[in-house]
Amino acid sequence: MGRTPRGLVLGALLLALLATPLSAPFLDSYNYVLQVMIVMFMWIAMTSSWNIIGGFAGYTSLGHGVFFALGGYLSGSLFVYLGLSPFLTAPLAGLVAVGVGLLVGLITLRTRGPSFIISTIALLLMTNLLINNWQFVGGANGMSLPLPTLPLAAAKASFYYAMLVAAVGSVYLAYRVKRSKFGLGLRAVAEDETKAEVAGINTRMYKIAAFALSAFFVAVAGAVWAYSLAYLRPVTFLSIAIAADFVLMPILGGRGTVAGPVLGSVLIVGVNELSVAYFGGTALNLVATGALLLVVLLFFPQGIVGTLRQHRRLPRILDWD
Amino acid sequence: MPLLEVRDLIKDFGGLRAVDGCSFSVESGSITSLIGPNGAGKTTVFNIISGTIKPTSGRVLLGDADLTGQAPHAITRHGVGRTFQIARELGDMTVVENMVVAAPARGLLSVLRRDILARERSRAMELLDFVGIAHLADEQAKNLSYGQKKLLEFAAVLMPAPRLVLLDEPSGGVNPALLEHISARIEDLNRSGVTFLIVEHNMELVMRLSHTVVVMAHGDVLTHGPPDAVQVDDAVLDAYLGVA
Repeated sequence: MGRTPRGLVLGALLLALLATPLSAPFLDSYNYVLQVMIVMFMWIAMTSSWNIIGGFAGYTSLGHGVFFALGGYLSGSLFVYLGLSPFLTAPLAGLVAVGVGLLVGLITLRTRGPSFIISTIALLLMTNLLINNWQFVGGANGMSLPLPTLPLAAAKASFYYAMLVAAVGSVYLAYRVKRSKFGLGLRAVAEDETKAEVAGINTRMYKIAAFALSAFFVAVAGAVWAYSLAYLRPVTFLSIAIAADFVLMPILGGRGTVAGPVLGSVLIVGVNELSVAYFGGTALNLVATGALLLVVLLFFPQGIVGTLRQHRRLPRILDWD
Repeated sequence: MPLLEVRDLIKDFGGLRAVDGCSFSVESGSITSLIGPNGAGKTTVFNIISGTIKPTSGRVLLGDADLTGQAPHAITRHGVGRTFQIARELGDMTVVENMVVAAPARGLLSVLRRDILARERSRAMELLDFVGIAHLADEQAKNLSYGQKKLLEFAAVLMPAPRLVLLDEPSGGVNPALLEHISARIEDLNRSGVTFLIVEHNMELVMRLSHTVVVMAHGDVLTHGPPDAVQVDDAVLDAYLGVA
């Protein structure tokens, strides 16, 4: 017992997700369903990635919108100016984001706690200012990308698969980090940095590596997202609301756990979509998301996965660590 | 031959000179105790040796290596382990994870390996058994009693097989029976070649364990020598009691 059913269930889930686009002929709301799934995958990819620095290492970053924008604008520009498909340049965008993450981390990770959070907000605002005034990428007016030449349904399906790959890749990366000595060191940093350092862990290098690594799949998701939007504006990537979602989704699901950001992303994107579907274009979706956060955190202060684990009530299907 | 040498250490905190030209050495294979009244600068000296604070001036030498100003993790890798005055466990981790964290991997490739390797687990179990808490190996560290946390910290410091162990008040918050147990373990380890530098207020323990006692007052070394000589030194009595 034990191991096999969880692998089976997750495998079956993955197969079902892989097969979803094949339902096109039978589903009226095909485009809508796929669009919602694309958004879910995007957030799973991004929050699982964020979790490496924000969850494992305990350094809350509100600046990951920068990597999101970097992915979108880098792949978008390569598409506009050189005609390279964002599907091909997305991994490149991820690597560039890792490089930028290293440089940024060298500076911002000299700080701890609230100072670190504020330095990441500063990073977000500076990038916003930069892109708003950089005409090469359209400035505040934005930048239009060439539309995909495929028929709509096929284009949707390709974005769907690209985002699914990013999501699965990101969760797998988080899982591998969590189970490695690197991940163990990050958990020590999160708990007591001085103790970790005295124990012999090069805490500064660990944190910088975690920050850089956490940028990869955020940029990949940004590249795919930009392609699917076909029109980029700074606010698409760099709003405070998006910066907050990076934090709220993992907190809801359980930051520092592998399954937490996945669960949090599915819940927040799901509740948001459902309330938009029911209440239409009112702002009630925000109320619903707020209520969800309130209720969950009242009863699950460590997030759903974290609190269930603490009470040894975590179903094996959600125990991915 | 001295293993550790502290030379002319000075540390200013703002206008306060916490350590004022302190020099002493720890003989290889010895148990050396650092004693003195509260505020004498003992813990500051400890923090400077282990790298958690940088000295204003002066040097810390371990054998041929100059530890002055190095980062704590680098000093640990030179073979210096330390415990804290108040036991500092990583509460959300298991006891075994706490042990393995104390012997971190070096180099990129080893960092990517599985968090707890079989040989690390068996080394951790050996040491936990040595201090007597092997049965708690898979318990969350925060669920341990204070005494058990002290034992865990003591065992964890031994994971990377240090040459020099700095113990900051091993008797603090520990009942007499447990203290007996801890001091027996210190003597066992010392016999197998581990050098100890201990900050301690429990004089009975200091006099029984130490080969050399270094007495600090007002940030400087007042005197040093074998325990029985220090015990009757007038300057020491004066520093502690204000009478001589």
